[in-house]
Amino acid sequence: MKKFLSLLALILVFNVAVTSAASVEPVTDNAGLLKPTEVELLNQRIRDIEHKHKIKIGVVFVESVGNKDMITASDELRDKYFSNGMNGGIVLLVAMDERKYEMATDRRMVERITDSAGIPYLKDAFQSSLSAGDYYGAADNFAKGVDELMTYYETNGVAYGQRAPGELDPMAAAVAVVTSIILGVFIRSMLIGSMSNIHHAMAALDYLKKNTVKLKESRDTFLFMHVQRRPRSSDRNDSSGSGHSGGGGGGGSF
Amino acid sequence: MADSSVSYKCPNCGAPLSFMPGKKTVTCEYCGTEFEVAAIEELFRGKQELAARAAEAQEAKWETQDAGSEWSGDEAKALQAFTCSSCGAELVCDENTMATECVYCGNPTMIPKRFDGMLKPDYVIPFKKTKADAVAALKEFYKGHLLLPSNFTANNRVEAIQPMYVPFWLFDSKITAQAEFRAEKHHVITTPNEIITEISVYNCRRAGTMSFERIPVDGSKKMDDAYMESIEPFNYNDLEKFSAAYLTGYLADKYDVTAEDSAPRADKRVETSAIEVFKDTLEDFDEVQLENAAVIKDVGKVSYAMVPVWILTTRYQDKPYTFMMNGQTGKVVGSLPYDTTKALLYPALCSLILMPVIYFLLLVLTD
Repeated sequence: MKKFLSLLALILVFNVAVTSAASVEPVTDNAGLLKPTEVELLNQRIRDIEHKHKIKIGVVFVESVGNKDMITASDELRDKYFSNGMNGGIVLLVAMDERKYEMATDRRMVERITDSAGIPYLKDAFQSSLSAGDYYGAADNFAKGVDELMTYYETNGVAYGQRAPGELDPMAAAVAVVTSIILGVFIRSMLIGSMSNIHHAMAALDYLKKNTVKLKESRDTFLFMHVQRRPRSSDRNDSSGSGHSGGGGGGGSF
Repeated sequence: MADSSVSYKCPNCGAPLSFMPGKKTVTCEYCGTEFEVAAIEELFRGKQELAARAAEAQEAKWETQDAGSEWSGDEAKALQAFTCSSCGAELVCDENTMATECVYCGNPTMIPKRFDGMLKPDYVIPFKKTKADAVAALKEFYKGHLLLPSNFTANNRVEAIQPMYVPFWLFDSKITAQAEFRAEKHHVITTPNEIITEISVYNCRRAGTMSFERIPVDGSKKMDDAYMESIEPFNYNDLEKFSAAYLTGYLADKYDVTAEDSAPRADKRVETSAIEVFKDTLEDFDEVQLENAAVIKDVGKVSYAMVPVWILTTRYQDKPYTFMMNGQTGKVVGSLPYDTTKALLYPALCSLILMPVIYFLLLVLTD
């Protein structure tokens, strides 16, 4: 009966048209995990953070996302209720039946909280609380994490994990130094090699009478086939890398 | 004492005759009279026979007399003296010299005794490039080498320029070859999550016949094989039936590596070429690896030819540098010295320029 009510609530959350996004509270607990006082406290804290950074934050606990996958469900929530922040919006969706969570950021927020560094930072912030069943703590840590990442962005001008304009990227610099030295050695051996044109002739194709070449056997026999698989690079921080459409995000299990 | 050598002198004025590159005749540089090669050959045939007999007599005499005890028997064989028919001076040359120049009077001289007991060349490729061509080609060869020491060209003086006919064996070969390759075709499929490469492996057999015409292998021990192979190819359209008249005015050696000893080098090149021909039929495959090959020679014919080579020697920091030019095509080969400072500086500059370029490329690619 409880599960049925939760599903009904989720359908309402996903499908009932709302006239004003501002009327949606930051925290929605359709899984019955939080006390009303905790919800109220969280809403207050998140509203303060939203106001401070001019963003929208959503935390949604549900029993199940039904037939939808977590990415689609979180994207729909973000687009419907949490995408009208001046500096972007982010939503954390937690599904209790599969014990999965998913974060979705919109196009403006993905520049401030990147998939490559920001999302993992948030995961580290709340995942242990979520695994321990401390849902209030998880939601609170998520909000604090967003606050910290936004503060970092506003202070440094770049998202957490990204280089400031003009700042040296040590990894790229090291690769450039090593590559240019290797190329320098290669150029040196090429230049020294070009000082001599003495070499043994390996073939005698200059003396082959082309019209005498007669192929008497030309047989190609298929022996076997083997397959090599390698994963595609997933270090991109745009929406296509995370699988989220219209922004970014990431998720996991707890 | 009879002359043991023959000078090709102009029957008109008595001046030395030279075969002029690019001409079909032997020309007197002094009176300008031109002679047909056949006419000169006929004219000097008698003299050559006489000179050969005189050399035999001289050789026998030298062998019995034990002259010059400081020379061992082998050394004496290798370094023999002949008399210049023009000025009477002794011409000292090694055991393979067929034609040379008197160091005293500059008279071009043939040593017909050296033709005895050896095969007569079938063909000769006459010199087409002159001494001036060789010097100009060498200067051109210096250009475009960034590491060439600055004072090499400035203080450079060619110490010696010698035109030489080098003995070559020309191998004609008709072969039956077969080869087996392991070849792969790669088909790449890209999905949202992974890149799948399907590698189809094939066994490819090729067999066939083909013919090679006149693969050149030098028959001279003193000529570096790598140099001789580097001045290739030769244009056999200029190949002439051999006449000793072509050698006049040039140095010439007889072979001291037999055709049998030279054959393995030609065989190896034939085998490599046959494999290359078969590999060319496997263009549809992404990777090809030779498993095994067998080449059977159906017909193998060898001819003996004299090939024109300019040998240029220069010196830099007390070290000799030898360059060789194909006397027919003008292709120059050799090893140039390099400036060690430039060899460090230029690559270092390239590295310094490339470093920021690579850095910014990496940033663009990773952002």
